[in-house]
Amino acid sequence: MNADPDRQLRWVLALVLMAAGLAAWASTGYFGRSFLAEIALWAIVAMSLDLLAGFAGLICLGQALFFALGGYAVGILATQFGLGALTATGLAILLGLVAGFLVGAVVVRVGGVFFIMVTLAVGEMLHAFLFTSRKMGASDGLPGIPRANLKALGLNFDDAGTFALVALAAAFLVFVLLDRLAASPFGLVLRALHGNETRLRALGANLWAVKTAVFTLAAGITALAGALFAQLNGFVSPDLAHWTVSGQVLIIVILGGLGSIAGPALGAVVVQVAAHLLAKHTGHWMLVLGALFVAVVMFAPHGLFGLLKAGLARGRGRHA
Amino acid sequence: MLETIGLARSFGALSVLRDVTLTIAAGERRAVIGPNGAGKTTFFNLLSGEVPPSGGRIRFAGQDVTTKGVAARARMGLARSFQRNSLFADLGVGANLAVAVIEAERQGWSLWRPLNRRADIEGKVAAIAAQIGLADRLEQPVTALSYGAQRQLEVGLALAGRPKLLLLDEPTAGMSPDETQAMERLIAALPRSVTVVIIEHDMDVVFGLADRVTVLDAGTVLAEGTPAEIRASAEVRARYLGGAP
Repeated sequence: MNADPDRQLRWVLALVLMAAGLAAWASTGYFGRSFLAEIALWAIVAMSLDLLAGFAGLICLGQALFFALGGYAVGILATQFGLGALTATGLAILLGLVAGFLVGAVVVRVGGVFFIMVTLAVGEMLHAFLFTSRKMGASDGLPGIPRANLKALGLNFDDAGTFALVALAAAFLVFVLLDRLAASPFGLVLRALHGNETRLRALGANLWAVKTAVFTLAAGITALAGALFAQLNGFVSPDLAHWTVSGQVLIIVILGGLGSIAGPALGAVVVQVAAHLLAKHTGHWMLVLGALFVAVVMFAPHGLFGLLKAGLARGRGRHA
Repeated sequence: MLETIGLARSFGALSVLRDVTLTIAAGERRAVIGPNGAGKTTFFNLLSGEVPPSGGRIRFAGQDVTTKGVAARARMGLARSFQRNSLFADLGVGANLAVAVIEAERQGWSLWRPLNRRADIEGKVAAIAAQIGLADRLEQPVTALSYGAQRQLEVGLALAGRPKLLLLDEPTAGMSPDETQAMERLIAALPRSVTVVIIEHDMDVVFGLADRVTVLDAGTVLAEGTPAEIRASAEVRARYLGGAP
Protein backbone atom coordinates (compact mmCIF):
# COMPACT_ATOMS: atom_id res chain seq x y z
CA MET A 1 0.00 0.00 0.00
CA ASN A 2 1.43 3.34 -1.01
CA ALA A 3 -0.20 5.91 1.27
CA ASP A 4 2.15 8.75 0.28
CA PRO A 5 2.50 8.50 -3.50
CA ASP A 6 4.17 11.90 -4.00
CA ARG A 7 7.11 11.22 -1.76
CA GLN A 8 9.57 10.32 -4.51
CA LEU A 9 8.85 13.40 -6.63
CA ARG A 10 8.96 15.54 -3.47
CA TRP A 11 12.50 14.37 -2.81
CA VAL A 12 13.60 14.84 -6.41
CA LEU A 13 12.33 18.42 -6.39
CA ALA A 14 13.94 19.15 -3.02
CA LEU A 15 17.31 17.85 -4.19
CA VAL A 16 17.07 19.80 -7.46
CA LEU A 17 16.27 22.95 -5.50
CA MET A 18 19.22 22.36 -3.17
CA ALA A 19 21.53 21.79 -6.13
CA ALA A 20 20.24 24.95 -7.80
CA GLY A 21 20.75 26.83 -4.54
CA LEU A 22 24.35 25.65 -4.24
CA ALA A 23 25.03 26.48 -7.90
CA ALA A 24 23.60 29.97 -7.37
CA TRP A 25 25.70 30.32 -4.24
CA ALA A 26 28.87 29.43 -6.14
CA SER A 27 28.18 31.86 -8.96
CA THR A 28 27.17 34.99 -7.03
CA GLY A 29 28.66 37.46 -4.60
CA TYR A 30 27.48 39.25 -1.49
CA PHE A 31 24.07 40.42 -2.71
CA GLY A 32 23.28 37.21 -4.50
CA ARG A 33 24.11 35.16 -1.43
CA SER A 34 22.08 37.40 0.88
CA PHE A 35 19.15 37.03 -1.53
CA LEU A 36 19.65 33.27 -1.55
CA ALA A 37 19.48 33.24 2.25
CA GLU A 38 16.27 35.26 2.16
CA ILE A 39 14.69 32.83 -0.32
CA ALA A 40 15.69 29.88 1.88
CA LEU A 41 14.00 31.51 4.88
CA TRP A 42 10.78 32.14 2.95
CA ALA A 43 10.91 28.53 1.82
CA ILE A 44 11.02 27.48 5.48
CA VAL A 45 7.96 29.59 6.30
CA ALA A 46 6.14 28.27 3.22
CA MET A 47 6.90 24.64 4.09
CA SER A 48 5.69 25.10 7.65
CA LEU A 49 2.46 26.71 6.45
CA ASP A 50 2.07 23.82 4.00
CA LEU A 51 2.03 21.45 6.95
CA LEU A 52 -0.97 23.38 8.26
CA ALA A 53 -2.79 24.37 5.09
CA GLY A 54 -1.77 21.63 2.68
CA PHE A 55 -1.75 18.60 4.94
CA ALA A 56 -4.16 19.34 7.75
CA GLY A 57 -6.35 21.68 5.68
CA LEU A 58 -6.01 24.48 8.24
CA ILE A 59 -5.84 27.63 6.12
CA CYS A 60 -3.94 29.91 8.46
CA LEU A 61 -3.73 33.59 7.55
CA GLY A 62 -1.72 34.53 10.63
CA GLN A 63 1.64 32.89 10.03
CA ALA A 64 3.29 36.35 10.13
CA LEU A 65 2.53 36.34 13.86
CA PHE A 66 5.08 33.60 14.49
CA PHE A 67 7.54 34.95 11.94
CA ALA A 68 7.59 38.34 13.70
CA LEU A 69 7.62 36.67 17.09
CA GLY A 70 10.80 34.77 16.19
CA GLY A 71 12.41 37.89 14.78
CA TYR A 72 11.51 40.15 17.68
CA ALA A 73 12.48 37.51 20.24
CA VAL A 74 16.01 37.47 18.85
CA GLY A 75 16.00 41.27 18.53
CA ILE A 76 14.92 41.93 22.12
CA LEU A 77 16.93 39.15 23.74
CA ALA A 78 20.13 40.01 21.87
CA THR A 79 19.99 43.81 22.01
CA GLN A 80 18.28 44.44 25.36
CA PHE A 81 19.12 41.37 27.43
CA GLY A 82 22.60 40.83 26.08
CA LEU A 83 22.04 37.20 25.20
CA GLY A 84 24.05 35.63 22.40
CA ALA A 85 22.08 35.43 19.17
CA LEU A 86 22.46 31.66 19.12
CA THR A 87 20.85 31.27 22.55
CA ALA A 88 18.27 33.86 21.50
CA THR A 89 17.46 31.79 18.40
CA GLY A 90 16.86 28.73 20.55
CA LEU A 91 14.60 30.72 22.85
CA ALA A 92 12.80 32.22 19.84
CA ILE A 93 11.92 28.72 18.59
CA LEU A 94 10.74 27.79 22.08
CA LEU A 95 8.66 30.96 22.27
CA GLY A 96 7.20 30.16 18.86
CA LEU A 97 6.22 26.69 20.04
CA VAL A 98 4.65 28.00 23.24
CA ALA A 99 2.79 30.79 21.43
CA GLY A 100 1.74 28.32 18.74
CA PHE A 101 0.31 26.02 21.38
CA LEU A 102 -1.53 28.81 23.21
CA VAL A 103 -2.98 30.33 20.04
CA GLY A 104 -3.58 26.95 18.38
CA ALA A 105 -5.37 25.45 21.38
CA VAL A 106 -8.00 28.16 20.99
CA VAL A 107 -8.24 28.87 17.26
CA VAL A 108 -8.43 25.24 16.08
CA ARG A 109 -11.78 25.01 17.80
CA VAL A 110 -13.33 27.14 15.08
CA GLY A 111 -13.63 25.82 11.56
CA GLY A 112 -13.70 26.94 7.96
CA VAL A 113 -13.73 30.60 7.08
CA PHE A 114 -13.84 31.53 10.77
CA PHE A 115 -10.48 29.85 11.29
CA ILE A 116 -9.02 32.03 8.53
CA MET A 117 -10.50 35.17 10.05
CA VAL A 118 -9.46 34.38 13.62
CA THR A 119 -5.85 33.61 12.64
CA LEU A 120 -5.82 36.85 10.62
CA ALA A 121 -7.11 38.78 13.63
CA VAL A 122 -4.57 37.30 16.04
CA GLY A 123 -1.74 38.19 13.67
CA GLU A 124 -3.01 41.74 13.33
CA MET A 125 -3.13 42.05 17.11
CA LEU A 126 0.62 41.46 17.31
CA HIS A 127 1.19 43.90 14.45
CA ALA A 128 -0.80 46.60 16.27
CA PHE A 129 1.12 45.92 19.47
CA LEU A 130 4.56 46.05 17.80
CA PHE A 131 3.60 49.18 15.89
CA THR A 132 2.70 51.10 19.03
CA SER A 133 4.95 49.64 21.73
CA ARG A 134 7.91 51.93 22.55
CA LYS A 135 9.79 49.04 24.11
CA MET A 136 9.55 47.15 20.83
CA GLY A 137 10.79 50.14 18.87
CA ALA A 138 7.28 51.02 17.66
CA SER A 139 7.07 51.79 13.94
CA ASP A 140 10.86 52.11 13.66
CA GLY A 141 11.50 48.52 14.72
CA LEU A 142 14.67 47.25 16.34
CA PRO A 143 18.06 47.85 14.66
CA GLY A 144 21.48 46.46 15.48
CA ILE A 145 20.60 42.80 15.86
CA PRO A 146 23.80 40.71 15.89
CA ARG A 147 24.25 37.34 14.26
CA ALA A 148 24.80 34.11 16.14
CA ASN A 149 28.35 33.21 17.04
CA LEU A 150 29.06 29.91 15.30
CA LYS A 151 32.83 29.92 15.87
CA ALA A 152 32.47 26.68 17.81
CA LEU A 153 31.45 25.11 14.52
CA GLY A 154 34.25 26.89 12.73
CA LEU A 155 31.80 29.15 10.93
CA ASN A 156 31.76 32.92 10.56
CA PHE A 157 28.05 33.69 10.53
CA ASP A 158 28.72 37.35 9.70
CA ASP A 159 29.91 36.27 6.28
CA ALA A 160 27.06 36.47 3.73
CA GLY A 161 28.12 33.23 2.08
CA THR A 162 28.24 31.28 5.33
CA PHE A 163 24.88 32.67 6.38
CA ALA A 164 23.36 31.61 3.07
CA LEU A 165 24.74 28.07 3.42
CA VAL A 166 23.37 27.78 6.95
CA ALA A 167 19.98 29.07 5.76
CA LEU A 168 19.97 26.52 2.92
CA ALA A 169 20.92 23.76 5.35
CA ALA A 170 18.13 24.86 7.72
CA ALA A 171 15.61 24.79 4.86
CA PHE A 172 16.77 21.31 3.88
CA LEU A 173 16.52 20.07 7.48
CA VAL A 174 13.00 21.45 7.72
CA PHE A 175 12.16 19.64 4.48
CA VAL A 176 13.53 16.35 5.84
CA LEU A 177 11.60 16.79 9.09
CA LEU A 178 8.30 17.58 7.36
CA ASP A 179 8.83 14.85 4.76
CA ARG A 180 9.26 12.27 7.51
CA LEU A 181 6.22 13.62 9.28
CA ALA A 182 4.17 13.46 6.08
CA ALA A 183 5.18 9.87 5.44
CA SER A 184 4.46 8.77 9.02
CA PRO A 185 1.15 7.49 10.42
CA PHE A 186 0.64 11.00 11.84
CA GLY A 187 0.98 12.44 8.33
CA LEU A 188 -1.75 10.16 7.02
CA VAL A 189 -3.99 11.18 9.92
CA LEU A 190 -3.44 14.82 8.91
CA ARG A 191 -4.56 14.13 5.36
CA ALA A 192 -7.54 12.21 6.68
CA LEU A 193 -8.37 15.20 8.86
CA HIS A 194 -8.30 17.37 5.77
CA GLY A 195 -10.64 15.04 3.95
CA ASN A 196 -13.31 14.06 6.48
CA GLU A 197 -13.31 15.23 10.09
CA THR A 198 -16.56 13.47 11.01
CA ARG A 199 -15.22 10.09 10.02
CA LEU A 200 -11.84 10.63 11.64
CA ARG A 201 -13.56 11.52 14.91
CA ALA A 202 -15.74 8.42 14.65
CA LEU A 203 -12.55 6.38 14.33
CA GLY A 204 -11.43 7.69 17.71
CA ALA A 205 -9.05 10.54 16.87
CA ASN A 206 -8.81 13.56 19.14
CA LEU A 207 -9.10 16.25 16.47
CA TRP A 208 -8.30 19.11 18.83
CA ALA A 209 -5.03 17.48 19.89
CA VAL A 210 -3.99 16.72 16.30
CA LYS A 211 -4.78 20.23 15.08
CA THR A 212 -3.13 21.90 18.06
CA ALA A 213 -0.02 19.78 17.55
CA VAL A 214 0.45 20.77 13.89
CA PHE A 215 -0.33 24.38 14.65
CA THR A 216 2.32 24.36 17.39
CA LEU A 217 4.94 22.71 15.20
CA ALA A 218 4.29 25.04 12.27
CA ALA A 219 4.58 28.03 14.61
CA GLY A 220 7.91 26.79 15.96
CA ILE A 221 9.37 26.32 12.48
CA THR A 222 8.12 29.71 11.33
CA ALA A 223 9.66 31.31 14.43
CA LEU A 224 13.01 29.75 13.46
CA ALA A 225 12.74 31.41 10.04
CA GLY A 226 11.84 34.72 11.72
CA ALA A 227 14.82 34.45 14.08
CA LEU A 228 17.18 33.89 11.15
CA PHE A 229 15.50 36.67 9.16
CA ALA A 230 16.23 39.12 11.99
CA GLN A 231 19.90 38.10 11.90
CA LEU A 232 20.06 38.27 8.12
CA ASN A 233 18.93 41.89 8.08
CA GLY A 234 20.20 42.91 11.50
CA PHE A 235 16.86 44.57 11.90
CA VAL A 236 13.18 43.83 12.56
CA SER A 237 10.14 46.01 12.00
CA PRO A 238 6.39 45.64 12.59
CA ASP A 239 6.08 44.90 8.86
CA LEU A 240 7.13 41.32 9.65
CA ALA A 241 3.83 40.84 11.49
CA HIS A 242 1.67 42.46 8.83
CA TRP A 243 -1.09 40.29 7.40
CA THR A 244 0.26 40.83 3.88
CA VAL A 245 3.24 38.68 4.91
CA SER A 246 0.84 35.88 5.89
CA GLY A 247 -1.04 36.43 2.65
CA GLN A 248 2.09 36.29 0.53
CA VAL A 249 3.23 33.07 2.17
CA LEU A 250 -0.19 31.53 1.59
CA ILE A 251 0.05 32.55 -2.07
CA ILE A 252 3.50 30.96 -2.24
CA VAL A 253 2.13 27.72 -0.79
CA ILE A 254 -0.86 27.56 -3.15
CA LEU A 255 1.32 28.51 -6.13
CA GLY A 256 3.84 25.81 -5.23
CA GLY A 257 1.22 23.14 -4.58
CA LEU A 258 -0.64 22.46 -1.34
CA GLY A 259 0.51 19.40 0.56
CA SER A 260 3.66 18.77 -1.45
CA ILE A 261 6.24 20.40 0.92
CA ALA A 262 8.88 20.80 -1.79
CA GLY A 263 6.31 22.56 -4.01
CA PRO A 264 5.92 25.52 -1.63
CA ALA A 265 9.74 25.75 -1.43
CA LEU A 266 9.75 26.03 -5.23
CA GLY A 267 6.94 28.57 -4.91
CA ALA A 268 9.12 30.65 -2.60
CA VAL A 269 11.93 30.62 -5.18
CA VAL A 270 9.59 31.56 -8.04
CA VAL A 271 7.83 34.38 -6.17
CA GLN A 272 11.00 35.87 -4.70
CA VAL A 273 12.96 35.72 -7.96
CA ALA A 274 10.01 37.01 -9.99
CA ALA A 275 9.48 39.86 -7.54
CA HIS A 276 13.17 40.70 -7.69
CA LEU A 277 13.32 40.71 -11.49
CA LEU A 278 10.00 42.45 -12.01
CA ALA A 279 10.74 45.14 -9.45
CA LYS A 280 13.64 46.23 -11.64
CA HIS A 281 11.29 46.98 -14.51
CA THR A 282 8.01 48.00 -12.95
CA GLY A 283 6.61 49.23 -9.68
CA HIS A 284 3.53 47.12 -10.36
CA TRP A 285 5.19 43.75 -9.95
CA MET A 286 2.52 42.66 -7.47
CA LEU A 287 0.05 43.00 -10.33
CA VAL A 288 2.00 40.53 -12.45
CA LEU A 289 2.34 38.10 -9.55
CA GLY A 290 -1.38 38.44 -8.91
CA ALA A 291 -2.17 37.51 -12.50
CA LEU A 292 0.19 34.52 -12.27
CA PHE A 293 -1.55 33.42 -9.08
CA VAL A 294 -5.00 33.65 -10.66
CA ALA A 295 -3.79 31.62 -13.65
CA VAL A 296 -2.34 28.90 -11.42
CA VAL A 297 -5.44 28.66 -9.23
CA MET A 298 -7.69 28.44 -12.30
CA PHE A 299 -5.67 26.12 -14.52
CA ALA A 300 -3.41 24.23 -12.13
CA PRO A 301 -5.20 23.80 -8.81
CA HIS A 302 -2.39 21.59 -7.53
CA GLY A 303 0.15 24.31 -8.21
CA LEU A 304 3.59 24.00 -9.74
CA PHE A 305 4.09 20.63 -8.06
CA GLY A 306 0.90 19.37 -9.68
CA LEU A 307 2.07 20.63 -13.09
CA LEU A 308 5.39 18.89 -12.61
CA LYS A 309 3.67 15.65 -11.66
CA ALA A 310 1.26 15.80 -14.59
CA GLY A 311 4.11 16.62 -16.97
CA LEU A 312 6.17 13.66 -15.77
CA ALA A 313 3.19 11.32 -16.00
CA ARG A 314 2.56 12.46 -19.58
CA GLY A 315 6.23 12.03 -20.47
CA ARG A 316 6.23 8.55 -18.98
CA GLY A 317 3.07 7.70 -20.89
CA ARG A 318 4.72 8.70 -24.16
CA HIS A 319 7.77 6.55 -23.56
CA ALA A 320 5.82 3.54 -22.36
CA MET B 1 -22.99 -4.70 26.22
CA LEU B 2 -25.29 -1.80 25.47
CA GLU B 3 -28.15 -0.42 27.46
CA THR B 4 -30.29 2.67 26.97
CA ILE B 5 -32.60 3.94 29.64
CA GLY B 6 -35.37 6.36 28.72
CA LEU B 7 -33.31 7.77 25.86
CA ALA B 8 -34.88 10.84 24.26
CA ARG B 9 -33.96 13.45 21.71
CA SER B 10 -35.88 16.40 20.43
CA PHE B 11 -34.90 19.02 17.89
CA GLY B 12 -36.68 22.16 19.04
CA ALA B 13 -40.34 21.26 19.47
CA LEU B 14 -39.93 18.15 17.35
CA SER B 15 -39.56 15.04 19.49
CA VAL B 16 -37.63 12.53 17.39
CA LEU B 17 -37.03 9.85 20.03
CA ARG B 18 -38.95 9.26 23.25
CA ASP B 19 -38.23 6.91 26.11
CA VAL B 20 -36.18 4.35 24.21
CA THR B 21 -35.18 1.71 26.74
CA LEU B 22 -33.47 -1.41 25.53
CA THR B 23 -30.72 -3.85 26.45
CA ILE B 24 -28.47 -5.57 23.95
CA ALA B 25 -26.43 -8.55 25.14
CA ALA B 26 -22.78 -9.11 24.28
CA GLY B 27 -22.45 -10.93 20.98
CA GLU B 28 -26.05 -10.28 20.00
CA ARG B 29 -27.15 -9.34 16.49
CA ARG B 30 -29.87 -6.77 16.86
CA ALA B 31 -31.78 -5.27 13.98
CA VAL B 32 -33.52 -1.92 14.32
CA ILE B 33 -36.31 -1.51 11.81
CA GLY B 34 -39.07 0.98 11.29
CA PRO B 35 -40.52 3.35 8.71
CA ASN B 36 -38.59 6.37 7.44
CA GLY B 37 -38.53 9.09 10.06
CA ALA B 38 -38.97 6.62 12.93
CA GLY B 39 -35.75 7.94 14.50
CA LYS B 40 -33.43 5.04 13.65
CA THR B 41 -30.47 7.11 12.50
CA THR B 42 -30.97 9.61 15.34
CA PHE B 43 -30.85 6.62 17.69
CA PHE B 44 -27.47 5.64 16.18
CA ASN B 45 -26.22 9.22 16.41
CA LEU B 46 -27.08 9.21 20.13
CA LEU B 47 -25.33 5.85 20.63
CA SER B 48 -22.16 6.95 18.84
CA GLY B 49 -22.15 10.36 20.51
CA GLU B 50 -22.59 12.48 17.38
CA VAL B 51 -25.74 13.97 18.90
CA PRO B 52 -26.22 14.49 22.65
CA PRO B 53 -29.47 13.11 24.07
CA SER B 54 -32.15 15.42 25.47
CA GLY B 55 -32.82 12.89 28.19
CA GLY B 56 -32.02 9.37 29.37
CA ARG B 57 -28.79 7.43 29.78
CA ILE B 58 -26.57 5.22 27.68
CA ARG B 59 -24.44 2.47 29.17
CA PHE B 60 -21.80 0.76 27.06
CA ALA B 61 -19.42 -1.99 28.14
CA GLY B 62 -20.29 -1.46 31.78
CA GLN B 63 -19.80 2.31 31.78
CA ASP B 64 -22.16 5.25 31.60
CA VAL B 65 -21.09 6.97 28.37
CA THR B 66 -23.97 9.46 28.12
CA THR B 67 -21.68 12.48 28.34
CA LYS B 68 -18.68 11.01 26.53
CA GLY B 69 -17.73 12.35 23.09
CA VAL B 70 -17.59 10.52 19.78
CA ALA B 71 -13.85 9.88 19.88
CA ALA B 72 -13.88 8.65 23.48
CA ARG B 73 -16.64 6.14 22.73
CA ALA B 74 -14.78 5.03 19.61
CA ARG B 75 -11.67 4.37 21.69
CA MET B 76 -13.79 2.26 24.06
CA GLY B 77 -14.64 0.00 21.13
CA LEU B 78 -17.78 1.48 19.63
CA ALA B 79 -17.59 1.73 15.84
CA ARG B 80 -20.15 2.77 13.29
CA SER B 81 -20.72 2.89 9.58
CA PHE B 82 -22.67 5.75 8.12
CA GLN B 83 -25.92 5.67 6.19
CA ARG B 84 -24.27 7.75 3.50
CA ASN B 85 -20.72 6.73 2.72
CA SER B 86 -18.30 8.75 4.79
CA LEU B 87 -14.87 7.91 3.39
CA PHE B 88 -11.60 9.74 2.85
CA ALA B 89 -12.29 10.52 -0.78
CA ASP B 90 -8.84 11.86 -1.69
CA LEU B 91 -7.01 8.84 -0.26
CA GLY B 92 -6.63 5.37 -1.74
CA VAL B 93 -8.52 2.30 -0.52
CA GLY B 94 -5.53 1.04 1.45
CA ALA B 95 -4.84 4.47 2.93
CA ASN B 96 -8.47 4.71 4.04
CA LEU B 97 -8.15 1.45 5.92
CA ALA B 98 -4.72 2.48 7.22
CA VAL B 99 -6.24 5.57 8.86
CA ALA B 100 -8.73 3.35 10.66
CA VAL B 101 -6.03 0.88 11.71
CA ILE B 102 -3.72 3.68 12.89
CA GLU B 103 -6.45 5.11 15.09
CA ALA B 104 -7.47 1.70 16.39
CA GLU B 105 -3.88 0.82 17.25
CA ARG B 106 -3.27 4.25 18.83
CA GLN B 107 -0.49 4.95 16.31
CA GLY B 108 -1.77 8.40 15.35
CA TRP B 109 1.11 10.01 17.22
CA SER B 110 3.77 7.95 15.54
CA LEU B 111 5.69 10.76 13.85
CA TRP B 112 8.89 9.39 12.47
CA ARG B 113 8.87 5.89 10.98
CA PRO B 114 7.32 6.01 7.49
CA LEU B 115 4.09 4.14 7.03
CA ASN B 116 5.52 1.98 4.24
CA ARG B 117 7.95 0.51 6.76
CA ARG B 118 5.19 -0.36 9.19
CA ALA B 119 4.53 -4.01 8.39
CA ASP B 120 2.29 -4.21 11.46
CA ILE B 121 -0.12 -1.63 10.05
CA GLU B 122 0.11 -2.96 6.51
CA GLY B 123 -0.66 -6.47 7.73
CA LYS B 124 -3.80 -5.35 9.51
CA VAL B 125 -4.90 -3.32 6.49
CA ALA B 126 -4.45 -6.38 4.27
CA ALA B 127 -6.47 -8.52 6.69
CA ILE B 128 -9.45 -6.16 6.73
CA ALA B 129 -9.23 -5.67 2.97
CA ALA B 130 -9.47 -9.45 2.56
CA GLN B 131 -12.40 -9.56 4.98
CA ILE B 132 -14.38 -6.97 3.00
CA GLY B 133 -13.38 -8.37 -0.39
CA LEU B 134 -11.18 -5.47 -1.50
CA ALA B 135 -7.78 -7.15 -1.12
CA ASP B 136 -6.73 -6.58 -4.72
CA ARG B 137 -7.84 -2.93 -4.82
CA LEU B 138 -5.69 -1.36 -2.10
CA GLU B 139 -3.86 0.95 -4.48
CA GLN B 140 -6.97 2.28 -6.18
CA PRO B 141 -8.46 5.64 -5.37
CA VAL B 142 -11.75 5.45 -3.51
CA THR B 143 -13.45 7.22 -6.39
CA ALA B 144 -12.61 4.30 -8.68
CA LEU B 145 -14.73 1.92 -6.59
CA SER B 146 -18.33 1.08 -7.45
CA TYR B 147 -20.96 2.28 -5.00
CA GLY B 148 -21.29 -1.20 -3.56
CA ALA B 149 -17.52 -1.53 -3.07
CA GLN B 150 -17.45 1.88 -1.37
CA ARG B 151 -20.17 0.59 0.92
CA GLN B 152 -17.97 -2.39 1.78
CA LEU B 153 -15.10 -0.04 2.52
CA GLU B 154 -17.44 2.00 4.72
CA VAL B 155 -18.06 -1.12 6.82
CA GLY B 156 -14.35 -1.98 6.64
CA LEU B 157 -13.42 1.33 8.28
CA ALA B 158 -15.74 0.48 11.16
CA LEU B 159 -14.32 -3.04 11.43
CA ALA B 160 -10.70 -1.94 11.47
CA GLY B 161 -10.69 -1.19 15.17
CA ARG B 162 -11.94 -4.69 16.01
CA PRO B 163 -14.81 -3.04 17.87
CA LYS B 164 -16.81 -4.49 20.73
CA LEU B 165 -19.94 -2.93 19.32
CA LEU B 166 -20.56 -2.28 15.65
CA LEU B 167 -23.37 0.00 14.54
CA LEU B 168 -24.25 -0.50 10.88
CA ASP B 169 -26.57 2.11 9.40
CA GLU B 170 -28.28 0.57 6.36
CA PRO B 171 -25.17 -1.21 5.07
CA THR B 172 -26.99 -2.55 1.99
CA ALA B 173 -28.73 0.69 1.03
CA GLY B 174 -28.59 1.25 -2.71
CA MET B 175 -26.82 -2.04 -3.40
CA SER B 176 -27.54 -4.51 -6.16
CA PRO B 177 -28.86 -7.97 -5.10
CA ASP B 178 -25.40 -9.50 -5.57
CA GLU B 179 -23.74 -6.77 -3.53
CA THR B 180 -26.40 -7.14 -0.84
CA GLN B 181 -25.68 -10.85 -0.58
CA ALA B 182 -21.95 -10.20 -0.32
CA MET B 183 -22.57 -7.68 2.48
CA GLU B 184 -24.88 -10.14 4.24
CA ARG B 185 -22.19 -12.82 4.10
CA LEU B 186 -19.64 -10.34 5.42
CA ILE B 187 -21.80 -9.44 8.42
CA ALA B 188 -22.79 -13.05 9.06
CA ALA B 189 -19.11 -14.02 9.15
CA LEU B 190 -18.23 -11.54 11.91
CA PRO B 191 -17.12 -13.24 15.11
CA ARG B 192 -19.47 -13.29 18.07
CA SER B 193 -16.94 -11.20 20.00
CA VAL B 194 -18.51 -8.29 18.14
CA THR B 195 -21.97 -7.14 19.09
CA VAL B 196 -23.78 -5.87 16.00
CA VAL B 197 -26.66 -3.44 15.81
CA ILE B 198 -27.95 -2.95 12.30
CA ILE B 199 -30.48 -0.56 10.83
CA GLU B 200 -31.85 -2.21 7.72
CA HIS B 201 -34.78 -1.95 5.37
CA ASP B 202 -34.17 -5.21 3.54
CA MET B 203 -36.27 -7.71 5.54
CA ASP B 204 -34.42 -10.70 4.09
CA VAL B 205 -31.22 -9.31 5.55
CA VAL B 206 -32.92 -8.49 8.86
CA PHE B 207 -34.53 -11.88 9.33
CA GLY B 208 -31.44 -13.66 8.08
CA LEU B 209 -29.01 -11.99 10.50
CA ALA B 210 -30.80 -10.78 13.60
CA ASP B 211 -31.17 -12.62 16.89
CA ARG B 212 -33.65 -10.00 18.01
CA VAL B 213 -35.45 -7.16 16.29
CA THR B 214 -36.48 -3.79 17.69
CA VAL B 215 -39.19 -1.94 15.82
CA LEU B 216 -39.08 1.85 16.13
CA ASP B 217 -42.10 3.88 15.12
CA ALA B 218 -42.55 7.60 15.54
CA GLY B 219 -39.65 7.74 17.98
CA THR B 220 -40.72 5.01 20.36
CA VAL B 221 -40.19 1.26 20.62
CA LEU B 222 -43.25 -0.31 19.04
CA ALA B 223 -42.15 -3.90 19.55
CA GLU B 224 -39.16 -6.03 20.36
CA GLY B 225 -38.66 -9.75 19.96
CA THR B 226 -37.18 -12.57 17.96
CA PRO B 227 -37.55 -12.38 14.19
CA ALA B 228 -40.35 -14.97 14.39
CA GLU B 229 -42.22 -12.95 17.02
CA ILE B 230 -41.86 -9.75 15.04
CA ARG B 231 -43.06 -11.42 11.87
CA ALA B 232 -46.07 -12.74 13.74
CA SER B 233 -46.93 -9.46 15.44
CA ALA B 234 -50.15 -8.05 14.07
CA GLU B 235 -49.23 -4.55 15.18
CA VAL B 236 -45.88 -4.56 13.38
CA ARG B 237 -47.46 -5.97 10.25
CA ALA B 238 -50.10 -3.27 10.31
CA ARG B 239 -47.69 -0.41 10.96
CA TYR B 240 -44.64 -1.40 9.03
CA LEU B 241 -44.26 -4.74 7.31
CA GLY B 242 -47.49 -4.35 5.39
CA GLY B 243 -49.68 -7.06 3.90
CA ALA B 244 -52.86 -8.62 5.26
CA PRO B 245 -52.64 -10.12 8.76
